[in-house]
Amino acid sequence: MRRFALLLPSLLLAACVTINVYFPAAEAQRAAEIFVEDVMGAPAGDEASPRPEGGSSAVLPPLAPTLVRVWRFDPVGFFIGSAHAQDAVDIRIRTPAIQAIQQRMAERFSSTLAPLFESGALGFGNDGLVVLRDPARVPLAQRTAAAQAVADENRDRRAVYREIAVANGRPEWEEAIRQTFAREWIAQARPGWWYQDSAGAWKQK
Amino acid sequence: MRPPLSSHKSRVPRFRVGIFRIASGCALLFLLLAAVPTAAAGGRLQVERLSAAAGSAEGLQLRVLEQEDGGLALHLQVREARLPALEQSLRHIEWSCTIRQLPGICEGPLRLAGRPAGRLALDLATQASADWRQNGRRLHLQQQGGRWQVELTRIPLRWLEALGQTRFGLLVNAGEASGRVQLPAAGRTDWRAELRLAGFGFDSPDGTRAAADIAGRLGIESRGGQFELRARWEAGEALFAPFYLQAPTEGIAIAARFATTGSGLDLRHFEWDDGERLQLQGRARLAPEGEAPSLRLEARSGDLDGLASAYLGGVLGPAGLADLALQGQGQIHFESDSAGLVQFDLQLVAADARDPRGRFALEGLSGGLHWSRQGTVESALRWRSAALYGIALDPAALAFRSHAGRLELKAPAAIGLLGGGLTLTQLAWQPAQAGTVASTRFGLALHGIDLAVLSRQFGWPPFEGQLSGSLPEARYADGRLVFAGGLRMDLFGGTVRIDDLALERPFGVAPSLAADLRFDDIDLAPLTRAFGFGEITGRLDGRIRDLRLLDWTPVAFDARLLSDRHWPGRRRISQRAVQDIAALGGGGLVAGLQTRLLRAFDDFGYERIAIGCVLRDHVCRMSGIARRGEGFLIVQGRGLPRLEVVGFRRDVDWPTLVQRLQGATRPGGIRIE
Repeated sequence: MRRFALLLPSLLLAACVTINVYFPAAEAQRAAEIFVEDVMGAPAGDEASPRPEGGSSAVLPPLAPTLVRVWRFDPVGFFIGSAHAQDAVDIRIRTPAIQAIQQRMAERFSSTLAPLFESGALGFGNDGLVVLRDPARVPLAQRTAAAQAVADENRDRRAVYREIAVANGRPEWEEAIRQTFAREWIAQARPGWWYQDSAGAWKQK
Repeated sequence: MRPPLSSHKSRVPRFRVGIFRIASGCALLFLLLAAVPTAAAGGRLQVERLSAAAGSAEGLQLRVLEQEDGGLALHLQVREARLPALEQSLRHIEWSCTIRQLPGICEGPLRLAGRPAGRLALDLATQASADWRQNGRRLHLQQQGGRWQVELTRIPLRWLEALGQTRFGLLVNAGEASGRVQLPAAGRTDWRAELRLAGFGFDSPDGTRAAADIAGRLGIESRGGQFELRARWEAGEALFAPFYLQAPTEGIAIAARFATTGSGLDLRHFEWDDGERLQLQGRARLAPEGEAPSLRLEARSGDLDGLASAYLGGVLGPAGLADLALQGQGQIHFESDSAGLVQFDLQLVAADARDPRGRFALEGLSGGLHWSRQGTVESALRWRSAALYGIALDPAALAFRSHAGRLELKAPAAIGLLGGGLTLTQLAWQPAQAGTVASTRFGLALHGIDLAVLSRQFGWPPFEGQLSGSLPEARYADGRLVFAGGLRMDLFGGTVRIDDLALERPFGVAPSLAADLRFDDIDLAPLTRAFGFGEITGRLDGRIRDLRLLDWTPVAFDARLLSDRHWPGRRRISQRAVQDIAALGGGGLVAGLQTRLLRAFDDFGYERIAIGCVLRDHVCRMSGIARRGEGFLIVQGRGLPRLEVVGFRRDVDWPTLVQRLQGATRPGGIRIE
């Protein structure tokens, strides 16, 4: 009987823990995947770089228990099944402001950042940001411009991560979203590019 | 340096000399060569180690061979020569020369680590001198008045690679020096150099300090452990992150007096003269790695525009102000020590700062901003005109006081704007100090802001009324500006309360604004007129909760607007307003009457009007007074003819809705058929 008395509070405690809102990891990953794809453009030799989660872009990762629809970022396409709108968790970014940021990121990526990743000057940080890991690889005259591009990019990224969290009414997800994006940037990095592992060490893909 | 080829083990020596202690390093060679007559006639001299203040040599071997013509052939081998002052070490030096008679000049090829390294000539006269040449490079060493003097012609600075790396952590990768170096006299450490540098370049391993194609003059004098430097930088580019700089055509004059202390550097005085753009002087104590340097500097610029474009690109760019336009004059006094900021005093004269993206503009900024960690100092700053997101601010003056490390507004400051005024009730700033983070807080009050002017400014429908209120405390942290308190708008006879205001990234990427709005007793007649929305009489209550604007466009809210049921006056809705409301619902059905019948009346009595919209993810989920069949009741009629407006589409695309609203508020907009 005494054991039961002890069991009850611990059960209650466990119950409290399970109340925590579940972060839709799979949905977030899929959303991040598309976002990153749109920014980085079609990766060259995509087949050669398997995703860490094991799923390809066509097959949903096994983590997705209730993925009911395809995620869309297009500004024109509007329609949601109203039955699902209330209960399914939604990680989408269709706000014009965020789309403008995404477009700007895509332009910056192809014009400025991609060559810097190629040269090894930049790396993907494990916090979802871009890191100027080896400025010595950038010609001196372009080094401050590179630092500025990195600062601009990171400002945009922080805004995107935050806005996705807030748009879902869950500002506390910002960190989880940032982590999801961090994994996705690295997953879609091209061979030879640098990234930071979870321990903070730099590795070349 | 190149790896040694093989170690030359000394064989059985004929002479064995222990350790020489000689004053000057350069004298080493001469002393050795002085032994030539002794070693003449096929002699061989072997010295294990020679050392002097300037350097040391190991494994010296001199062979002297008598030539057929009576001259001598010398062959000198040195296993390793070290010059610690230059962090230099040369290995496997081989030099062969011939000399016709003594005293005379012995000249011949030099090899370093097995590779040809130019030609060396030694004058073994009373006025001893040495001369080395290779491909137009020349090093001439000669004694003058008891001191050795080196003349350099196009000597590669890469020779100082090791010195740069160990002393300054820099990789010297290019450049040549020409000029003259006077080496210390016997028993002294004083030396001086007058050099011309060309194409000088270096880089630090982390890439934060670098230079390329540096050209200029450099004079250094070392006296009693203190150095005097005088330089003129004439060409090239340099990066000391975050500062990147290209030498202006007029050049920059640099002067410094410094001494090395332990592992740090004591910069007792430095000067930087870039004409109008920047005049800088001060002193600094650069501690070894990991410790904050202590610094004291005075900077003055008579051309902030030039200063910004030449010096501040690397600071303003990453801060998101790359294209900030600055103008005017300014100066700053700045002090910091190992504990952090000690004080700064910024003074501006007729300065302008304009953001080309129109987020802010300050013109005719004059006065100062003075903060000190200790004591009390006062300053005042005023502007002639200013604008924030296109809203013009009248001229104003702010008086500041810094007391015990806290900079604050001395007295509330009134700033006129939009026909009314803003009072900055408090403003306090504290920099990050040991154990505390930087904090900024301020409070403001608005009074009598003319909404008509504000509406015109932002291209809104012509609202009429006044905005006032108090936001007694605003905190800024982590890119988020949160206001305590609220604002009150007196609008069309009623009030709108704005609470829980928060701004994110106010001057950054996609600024966002969050707020809660409450409406009370807004007179519908002037409101609908302002919107050109037909006409409704009555009073409006309601709220917009969790409003969020991103880039000043609504992205989310939970709104519910409804007519005041208890308002005693007439409640009528015009035919046109009915049509517009119905149109908003996307072809919502007007029940109880046929459309044609509707047109027969100018207006209708109503009991209640209510409309709600929860905006999420571009979709507005509409609601009304109550459910009505499949739809929701928006307008509940009263009297005869009784009118009911029922909406059927619950989910409406927000951009479409906005379009319709704009259409409805334009004369001759959407019509229902």
